[in-house]
Amino acid sequence: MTEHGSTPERPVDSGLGRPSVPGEGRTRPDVGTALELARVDVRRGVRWALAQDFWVLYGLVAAAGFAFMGWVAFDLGRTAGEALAADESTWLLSTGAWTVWGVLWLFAVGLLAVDALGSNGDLDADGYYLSVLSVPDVVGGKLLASAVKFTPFLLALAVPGHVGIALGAGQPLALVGCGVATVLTVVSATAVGYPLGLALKGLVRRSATLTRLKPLLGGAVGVTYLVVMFSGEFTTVVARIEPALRTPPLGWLGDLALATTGGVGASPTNAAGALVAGGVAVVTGTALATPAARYAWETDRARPAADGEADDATPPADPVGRLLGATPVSQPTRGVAVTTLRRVARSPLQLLFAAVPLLAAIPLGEQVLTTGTVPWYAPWLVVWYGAWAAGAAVPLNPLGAQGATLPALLSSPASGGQVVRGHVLAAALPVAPLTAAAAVGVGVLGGQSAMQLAAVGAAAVAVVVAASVLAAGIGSTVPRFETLDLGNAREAVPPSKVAFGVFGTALSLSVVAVAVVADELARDLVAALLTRSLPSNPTVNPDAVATVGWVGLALAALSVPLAYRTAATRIDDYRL
Amino acid sequence: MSDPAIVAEGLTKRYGKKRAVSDLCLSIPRGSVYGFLGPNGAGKTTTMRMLTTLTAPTAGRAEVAGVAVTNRPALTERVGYLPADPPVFDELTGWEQLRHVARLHGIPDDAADERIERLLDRFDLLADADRHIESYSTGMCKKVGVVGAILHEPAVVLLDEPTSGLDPRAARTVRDMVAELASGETTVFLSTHVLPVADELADTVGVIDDGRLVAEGTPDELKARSVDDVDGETDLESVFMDVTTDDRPPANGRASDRPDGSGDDRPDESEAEHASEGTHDRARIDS
Repeated sequence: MTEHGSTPERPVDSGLGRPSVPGEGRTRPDVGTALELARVDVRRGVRWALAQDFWVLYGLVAAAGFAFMGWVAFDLGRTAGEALAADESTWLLSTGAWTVWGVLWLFAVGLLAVDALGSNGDLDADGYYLSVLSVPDVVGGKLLASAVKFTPFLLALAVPGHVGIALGAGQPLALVGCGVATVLTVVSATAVGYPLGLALKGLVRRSATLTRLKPLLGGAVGVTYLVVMFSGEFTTVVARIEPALRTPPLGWLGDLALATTGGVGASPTNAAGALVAGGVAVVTGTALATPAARYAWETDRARPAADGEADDATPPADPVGRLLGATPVSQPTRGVAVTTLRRVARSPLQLLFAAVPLLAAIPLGEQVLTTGTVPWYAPWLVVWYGAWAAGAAVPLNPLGAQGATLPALLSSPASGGQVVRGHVLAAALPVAPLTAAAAVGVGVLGGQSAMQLAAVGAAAVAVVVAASVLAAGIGSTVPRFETLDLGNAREAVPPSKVAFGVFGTALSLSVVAVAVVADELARDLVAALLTRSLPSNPTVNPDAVATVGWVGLALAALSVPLAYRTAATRIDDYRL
Repeated sequence: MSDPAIVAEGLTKRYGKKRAVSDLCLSIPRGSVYGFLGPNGAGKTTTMRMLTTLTAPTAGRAEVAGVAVTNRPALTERVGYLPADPPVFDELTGWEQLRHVARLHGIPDDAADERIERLLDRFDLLADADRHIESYSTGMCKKVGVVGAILHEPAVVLLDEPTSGLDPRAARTVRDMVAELASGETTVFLSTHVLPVADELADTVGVIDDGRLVAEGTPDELKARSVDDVDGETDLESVFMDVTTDDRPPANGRASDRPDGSGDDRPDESEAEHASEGTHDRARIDS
């Protein structure tokens, strides 16, 4: 007997060259089997995340964000509840709740579709599962697991708002409607979003072109999402689609959520309609999930032409290697630089960590675009980011990034100095010219003088190279060898958190030093800030700030050769 | 007679209080194949890492190709090392990976490409050399690793499980390659679990258990002295079973479930000390 009380069915040879499996031909999943699969899937997902420090960190940051949004929702709800108790109305009670629930449902559908399209829509050990279980059972497990995984996100946003309404209005029953609406949103969004993602996955797998473009399209969608979310344009987008959000049956979700809140005027008919429409969506979506899963899972993947079956290979094209070959750069340095650049270009996900500070620049970019003015510090911000990106993307973990090849590197004649120079070259070759061009371009837009532009351009190149060396020194001192699973069978070895922290701090202080030395406005600003924030408010002279800046620059300049020597020695002497 | 290619005297490695390798003595002639056998976690990988400068010995001394294992810059030009986990980058093609290795060894591109093409062809990998390694099978990765270990024509090659994961044809190619290397001046230090491979190729076989060399001799000598000869026929498996023990406490309660500890062969202190109490000494063969 199985855990669910039924006798396990064994695969039976159907005589058609492939054993038939229990339940083949039906579209409705067996609840017991689906529950068991979902239980294992959720448990594995939680353990996967908890076992990786960067995902735990990300989870904590996300939790803080959700806590903040939950607080905002609670505050809105309480205000609305108090207004309701006073026989008044607010935006939330008149139209807002309907819009919010529509957004939540659409968001959930989108996220679940992306979830299915990504690695979570695949089966681990698919050969095993698909040969001993029916596809509907496996799909049922996937749907349940996804619903469970997304429920906390929805609860974190919806429940505080309705708790606020219940408390403000003194109507505890208000939570009943919220609970029912939450459950209906989760299950119906899963039943709609997940099959959609699986169908898209099948489409991508059948098309060599889509397979090749998938990383690009995924990146574009991700960047668009981040820009919309961090630029404040999200509300504009919602306002545009608000009429559609309030159109039945989507618009009925708000009625369902507020059905047990007296005095709001939610339509009981619409609430019942939401339940019926949700039920239809769940049944239809679950039934369609099986063919969608078959479409995604039971196919030979199209292979991009670049990976085709050629005859005997010839030496690979190597433009960067040829370019460096024309310079006095040694063979080992050339080898490290070329290989590092190739790895980054072919596995750009490892740049994720270097890209994080870009999020902070989105509001600045929006400000520049909307006001048409460029702040004086914008070019220096570009320099800082270029230096950060150069250091964090490549040289901040020169030992750990070698992965399984570290023994081969250490047992080769390549010296530590050659390896460090290779990493610095790999970082500075693409980033230094880009940073200089971007910083000068932003400076031109800001109307800066020729002298200022020259200073920022020269500083960009110097700071990028110096930051790369500094990163190598820090990263080789505190290497990280533990891989981080990025999903979709992708792994990366990010730098250690200590390395990130030390490098970011050192870099920020260095760029501030450069800024106060090279820019009068920066000197004045820092002097004013110090005057205001230091105890007893002493008057800080901008010239004194410049002097401190020079000292800081001297220390930064000294730290570069020290970092180089540290990195080279660490690599030379490193033992496993 | 020329100097041995590998000499070790009292070579010892401790991790804290744990002894991974204890008082290891070796003298391996140039141009020979030394088969290095032992259970998982016996100290094989640690020994190879010490001989390639990747791990610093706690005590004792060793020389490889006439260079002390403490002198990495001088030694790296003379040794080639294939770890059990093939040292390859998934993002590169096979050819790009090998060109990278060649550049680390300072070999000019033209000469490197000529060698790479020849070796890839020999290992039946030339047609796949422009595919990314992430699409390779385990055996293909291993082949790239083997080529990388011998690409710079080192005097001493240390191979950790070179035939694991290979199909019979590829394994045959590796065995032929080892024999060919040894027929010249190259010395091969071969760690393997595939006992027939050691039987076929090795001039001398050493068995390490719990960090100690518990048997050493030619395959024929070892087989002749095996005490586990029940049916009149002996092989290295009988020798292996005879001189190694299976009395270490299993990590998960089942002795047969030890993980493949190719990268972690650190016995705990009690295990190593138990080995030193004479259990294995009675099986030592002083050839």
